[in-house]
Amino acid sequence: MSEEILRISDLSARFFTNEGQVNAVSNLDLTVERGEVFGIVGESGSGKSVTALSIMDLIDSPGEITDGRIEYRNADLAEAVADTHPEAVDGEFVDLLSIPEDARKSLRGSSFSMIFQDPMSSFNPSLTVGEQIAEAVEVQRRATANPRSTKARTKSVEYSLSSLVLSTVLPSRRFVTEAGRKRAVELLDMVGIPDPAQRTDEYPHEYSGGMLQRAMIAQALAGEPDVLIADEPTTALDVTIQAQVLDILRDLQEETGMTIVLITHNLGVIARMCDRVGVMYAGEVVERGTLGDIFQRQVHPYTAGLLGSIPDIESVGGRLEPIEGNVPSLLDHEMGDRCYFADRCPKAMEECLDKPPDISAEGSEDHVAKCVLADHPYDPARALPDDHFEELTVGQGTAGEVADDD
Amino acid sequence: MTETADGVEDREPIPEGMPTGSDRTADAGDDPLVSVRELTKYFYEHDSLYDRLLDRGPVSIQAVDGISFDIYEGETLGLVGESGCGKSTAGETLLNLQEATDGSVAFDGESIDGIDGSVPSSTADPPVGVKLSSVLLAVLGVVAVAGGGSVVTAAAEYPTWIVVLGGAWLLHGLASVGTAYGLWTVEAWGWRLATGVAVLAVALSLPTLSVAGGPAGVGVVAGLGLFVYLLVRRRVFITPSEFRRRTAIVFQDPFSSLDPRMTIGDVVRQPLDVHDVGTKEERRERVRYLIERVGLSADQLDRYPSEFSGGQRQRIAIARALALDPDFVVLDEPTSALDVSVQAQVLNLLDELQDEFGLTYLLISHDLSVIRHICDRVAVMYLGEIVELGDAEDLFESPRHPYTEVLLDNVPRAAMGERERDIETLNVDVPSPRDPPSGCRFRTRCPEVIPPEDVGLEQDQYRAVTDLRQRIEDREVSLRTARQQAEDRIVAQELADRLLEVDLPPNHRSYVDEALEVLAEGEYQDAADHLRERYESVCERYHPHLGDEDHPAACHLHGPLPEEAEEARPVVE
Ligand SMILES: Nc1ncnc2c1ncn2[C@@H]1O[C@H](COP(=O)(O)OP(=O)(O)OP(=O)(O)O)[C@@H](O)[C@H]1O
Ligand code: SF4
Ligand code: SF4
Ligand SMILES: [Mg+2]
Repeated sequence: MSEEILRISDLSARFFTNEGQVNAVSNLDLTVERGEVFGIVGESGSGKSVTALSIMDLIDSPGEITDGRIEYRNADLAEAVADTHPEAVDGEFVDLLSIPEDARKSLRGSSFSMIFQDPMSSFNPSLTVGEQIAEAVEVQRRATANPRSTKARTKSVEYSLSSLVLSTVLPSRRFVTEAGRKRAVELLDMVGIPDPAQRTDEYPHEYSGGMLQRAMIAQALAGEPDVLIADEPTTALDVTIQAQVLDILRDLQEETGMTIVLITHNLGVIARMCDRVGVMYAGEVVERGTLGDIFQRQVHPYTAGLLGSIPDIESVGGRLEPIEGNVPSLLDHEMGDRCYFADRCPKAMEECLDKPPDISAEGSEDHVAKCVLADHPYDPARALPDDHFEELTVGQGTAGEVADDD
Repeated sequence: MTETADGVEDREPIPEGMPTGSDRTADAGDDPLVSVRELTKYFYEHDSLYDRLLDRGPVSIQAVDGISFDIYEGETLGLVGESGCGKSTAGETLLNLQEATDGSVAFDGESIDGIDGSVPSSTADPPVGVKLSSVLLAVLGVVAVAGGGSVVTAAAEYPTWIVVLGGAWLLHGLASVGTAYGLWTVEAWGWRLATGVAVLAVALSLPTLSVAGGPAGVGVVAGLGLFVYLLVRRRVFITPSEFRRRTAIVFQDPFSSLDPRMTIGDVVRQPLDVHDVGTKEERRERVRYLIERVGLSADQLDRYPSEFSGGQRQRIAIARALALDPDFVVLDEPTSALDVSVQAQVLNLLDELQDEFGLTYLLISHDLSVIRHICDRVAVMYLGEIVELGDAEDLFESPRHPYTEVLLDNVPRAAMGERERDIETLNVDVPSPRDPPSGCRFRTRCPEVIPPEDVGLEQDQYRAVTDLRQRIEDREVSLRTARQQAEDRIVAQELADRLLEVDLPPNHRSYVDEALEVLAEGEYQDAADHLRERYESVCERYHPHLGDEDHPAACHLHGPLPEEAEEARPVVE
């Protein structure tokens, strides 16, 4: 381990909506190491999905990556673009945001692959599961052979009626080779689908929710990606199915050594799966470090608040220690330039009105918090008065809704 | 409590900003507040005329299948299970928001009519049109009786007004009884009119009857009056309207459960208006009190739900549920749509409100941590049935049903060391409630399913054979695929390679091979029968019942098997 594979620095993504500019992700820094499971945890609207989509280059209008670098370690790619885009290359790292669109696109599937919360969105209902996985395999094969033909009909994230009609009229069987089909069966077997040889010929609606989730993982693995980005892969599932899917992800990771970026709002899932964790709040990573840093040595009051909010299944009763207040608005004009958590923070002090930088904290080398407490302890003498934010928070009740569109 | 029943001035006064209801918890005795017995709810698919023309039989979905439990005053009972197991349907049927297929519910010791589906119940209060027509009907009735009465008086030489009043009295009695049984809803206005007339009738007819009919006449009238009074006033029957008043529900989705065109003040006041409680001023006071009590500001009463976040909306939904000062609240996944930090706020709020208002909760959730945190007792549901019921502490510390064990085991803990914890995952998904497995419904996934005695297989081997048979029974094995794949090998061989994921001891392997050879001929039934003969489990043949001990679990591992089961246990040489 400990070879960095992904280095994100100063990443900002904005959405330009009717209500104004939404700062979905702001100045985000993080690194992911090869072969690890990196967890991103945070509440609804904290920017987890936008971060994932940025890595995948899937941010569409009205959104835009406005700043930052996403550097990916890939010696071959570095060599290939060194001549044309020297500014993108830094040793073996290539900044994905400074290379041409089609070079970036060709990384999808073979370098980065993504799975979503809703498996239905990655399958075309009118083709069999096997055909779609075989097609993904074939696309990858052709892409490696000839980087130009990277179009696959089943690869798009959403389906319109027209694409449905089109794919019904023009079945893609000819796109599916015998080798592709074989590989599809293997992949389905890898993700624990019983009797894959037969299941491969079934349609998505014949699969149960848990099986479809696994089939989606199989599809994402078709190109043998370096990095698998899993956005809330088990959120819609029951605990028993969640346990199956997590098990499979973990086995796959151990077998193939791929890197996984796992996005979730469930700290239990983080604890079960991850090596290192980033905690997101209001578009920023407010604390990151190893599991131990986050669960035992957390510095940021938000991290502590999250941990205090979850009821413990191992013991009964008692009051929970929730974080007061609501998830903040990410509208640019309502954000100000302070610690974004200050209005809910029980330890807010005067200095928190200036935005705190990343400060190293006790624990592992990687342990960093965007909080003044990493620097000096809480001093009640400098505490902000209770009503400091009262004026600001009136009328911000709507913060939650903006986030609920996915 | 009974404003709709005999309503003159018996409306419950609204306390000024003070919580009410604590008076009811004074005797938190051993009598359950809610008693559910064999509650059943089936939905039917393919039940239209079109389907009947096509000669398709209706398919029943057994959403809730004979569940029984008690909820005691002041406690929180948790109902937990995976999606589709019938939790929400159970909650709604119990509150009579859905018509039950069978079973009964008693509330505060009195049975709720309409629950068993035999009596139509009203789930919404009548609109103005109905109110008007009920008044009109009452007037018409009086006129009609008066008309008929004048004929009678002419013959029998009674004064007309006695017959008129007698008729009114009769109408009132009918109306009370009818409503008490849920036969019809008479809106408050109709009630008041009928009651007013009736009181007048009694007052006037007593002296007159004592003249005309002597003591016997007085006795009859007084007796009738007392009977009706007791029937309604003492709540021998709970009227649907009153039941609705004393119960409430909070739904999962705070984004769709509030009417977007109503201000939150109206949202919270609506139940007060519908049930015609208090004066205008009192209602306003109550709404302000509730909104502030759930942690919002009374300045926000004129805002619309869309201006609030999810957690705030759920607070509004809670305020609305408490408007009529209910005794019993069903909380259907009240925090599932919320973020963890906000969920904790709402859970704490629910906890406080329970103490303060003396509420009894039924908390429906799929989140075991939430259940454990809040509940006093817990019922675990699987495919429409309750499989385990017990004290929360007991159930979480020493679960008895294999399903409960798996559920608890599979919840990821937010703690260090979670990565190293071994858990047992189930490989099979939940079967469809359209065709639940025979015997124990959990048997298709149960890691402890009981093999026939002396079968001599490991659990995973036995599971593999059972799964294979299940697939053959469900006709899920495609012979076409097998034939294609087999190419020039023997099809049965190909089937074995594909379908059997574990190695079996030789004697079992050859037995299974025999079945696969039959299967390769296309004889699904025979192949399945062959396997069943040797491998059928008691769990498949006999339905385990939930006992009535303290902490019952519906599983053959606990408690004795049915007698025939002992005899019928297959003996394998
Ligand atoms: N297509 C879009 N148009 C406008 N705003 C968007 C869009 N997609 C995301 N946003 C905004 O970006 C912010 C971050 O959203 P994001 O989806 O990354 O949150 P998340 O952490 O994934 O939340 P969740 O837990 O709900 O999935 C939110 O304020 C959201 O409203
Ligand atoms: S910087 Fe200040 S306000 Fe922000 S989290 Fe740290 S202590 Fe709280
Ligand atoms: S009855 Fe049998 S199948 Fe059902 S839970 Fe008990 S052991 Fe498992
Ligand atoms: Mg998301």
